Amino acid sequence: MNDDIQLIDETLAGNSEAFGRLVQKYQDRLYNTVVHVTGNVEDAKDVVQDAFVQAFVKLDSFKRSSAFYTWLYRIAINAAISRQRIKRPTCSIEHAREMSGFEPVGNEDDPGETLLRDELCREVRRAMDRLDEEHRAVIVLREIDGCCYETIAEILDLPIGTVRSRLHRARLRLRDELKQVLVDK
Amino acid sequence: MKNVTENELLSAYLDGELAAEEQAEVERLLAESQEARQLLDQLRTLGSTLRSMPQHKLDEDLSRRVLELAERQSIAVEPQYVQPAGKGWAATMRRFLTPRALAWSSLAVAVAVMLTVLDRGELRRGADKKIAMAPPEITLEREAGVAGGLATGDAPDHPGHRSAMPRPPDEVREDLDGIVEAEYPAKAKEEAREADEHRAEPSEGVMFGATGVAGAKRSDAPDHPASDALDHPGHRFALPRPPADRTAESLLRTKAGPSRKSGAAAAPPADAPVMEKLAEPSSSGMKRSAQNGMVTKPGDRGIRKSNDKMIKQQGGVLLVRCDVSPQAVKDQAFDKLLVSNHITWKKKDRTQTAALDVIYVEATPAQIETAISQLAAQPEQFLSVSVEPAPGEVSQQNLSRFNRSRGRQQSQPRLKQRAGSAQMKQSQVEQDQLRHPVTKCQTLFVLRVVDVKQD
Repeated sequence: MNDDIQLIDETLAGNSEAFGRLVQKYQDRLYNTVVHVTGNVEDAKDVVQDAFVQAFVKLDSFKRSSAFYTWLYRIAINAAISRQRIKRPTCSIEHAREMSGFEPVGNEDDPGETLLRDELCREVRRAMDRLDEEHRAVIVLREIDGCCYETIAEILDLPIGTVRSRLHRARLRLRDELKQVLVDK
Repeated sequence: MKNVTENELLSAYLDGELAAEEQAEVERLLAESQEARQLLDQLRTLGSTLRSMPQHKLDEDLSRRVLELAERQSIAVEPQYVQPAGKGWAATMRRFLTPRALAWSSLAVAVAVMLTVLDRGELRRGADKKIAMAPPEITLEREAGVAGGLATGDAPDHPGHRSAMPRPPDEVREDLDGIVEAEYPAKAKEEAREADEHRAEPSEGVMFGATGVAGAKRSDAPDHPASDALDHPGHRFALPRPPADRTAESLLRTKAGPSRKSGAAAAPPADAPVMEKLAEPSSSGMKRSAQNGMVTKPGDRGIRKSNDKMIKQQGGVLLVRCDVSPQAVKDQAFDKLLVSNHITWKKKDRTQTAALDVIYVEATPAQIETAISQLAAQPEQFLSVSVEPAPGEVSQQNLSRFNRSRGRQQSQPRLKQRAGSAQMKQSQVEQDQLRHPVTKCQTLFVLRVVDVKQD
């Protein structure tokens, strides 16, 4: 946190390389979150990149009442949700993987285990794709990124009570979508 | 208590986000309800499944690309003025050293210098010329006022003195103050108020409504009778008054043939094709603005022709002076006129006081031409219009060179643009415009509020 503040101060003083270090620090974490919100690796990359650009351009308006990454996430998640509303996914994570050979990072060595995990991931992604943007964003922030309710409320600009109820509804819908998978587990 | 499935406390319990009281409530529910325990298990499994999803990582470092795009976006948003982010003296200096800031500052300094020189020149030339420039009835009153003032030493109270210092009605001044209050720092308003207060002490020879250089006291000519004549409407607001060889009329004389003045000025030469219409008598009478050298009258359309020439021949910064009625100010007629011609301005390029409104705009010559002709076509609102190149004009050539250099900079994209990004497409359009800049006519509009009733 203090490191972020120092890098922000250096950036505002004219050292843009300091902002480069902020990009390096948060790009993967933000990208992983946004991929699950957009369901599309190319869109996610665009969104993350644009979010950093917007953050740089508007850095002097960052009020520091919250953490930098919360502010950054707010920019990125809002952009991702807007993009999803305008444009339906044309390239799913699965499709991108098939087309580009890009493999998400995994740790499994056993081919059978890997196949099972791949199938599970495919099911989960399909279920996530069927959620609407608001529900998807809140569940990704909680389950994928591990944000607390307060941080989610800041990022999505919602009251904490709304976060709680929206998260619960999102979980119920996802549970319904994945009922069979969850039973098997 | 809610239906178990709908009970969002279960989710919050799972996440450890409950207060002690709510947590106790959920634990009671779990102890009593098999359905609640089952739902909690499902939600827990769902969470672990989601958290076990593979992590996605970018296969490249975005930092360099982000910084490049940020630079481009700054340029695209403000093609001629990149506001560096940051605080401190270094960032502040960078802001002041942008080409636009330098150009605007040099123009302002040039106008200020011209004001100083011209006002001193007017003083030394004496009162005769000033009185001759005023409308006949004011001239008579002024002469009486000057005489009375010299004889009794209380010229400020003389009726002639007052009549020569028309000021906007209080209600209009309040409106103007409202505009100033809304858009500009209190400092500008304070300056106008101070100048107004000084006006109430005319024995010190201070101009009304003037700011900066023009607001200085006339202590350099305390004994000269002409110091009283400074209260002539032409001086009220300390407008930049062009010297004889800088007026639009003289410029037109050199470019389009001799011209003539109105009112007390000399009779028109027969070979004044451009200004001929301007000097024609009108049944509705001539409006005051002789001090600018180039005069319009109600219903006059002749100015269009001269303005056409001015715009096309000067090609750089134009100085457009315009006397506006208080009602026009109230109606924001000038703003509406600019907007109707799609001429926009930035807040920082406009300075307003209660009596003066100075606006710097950049637009195509056609837009400026149309705007000026529309000003001249509304004599009830815009009492007079004059056009001349501004002193210390910014070189259009320099501006074009600046744009071209920016264009070259932009024409070497370091990044591959991705399809499907509307923002990048927009940026591309703006960069194309930078590469092929449209010649803009830089124009400084100087508006002065004039109360017609006192003319």
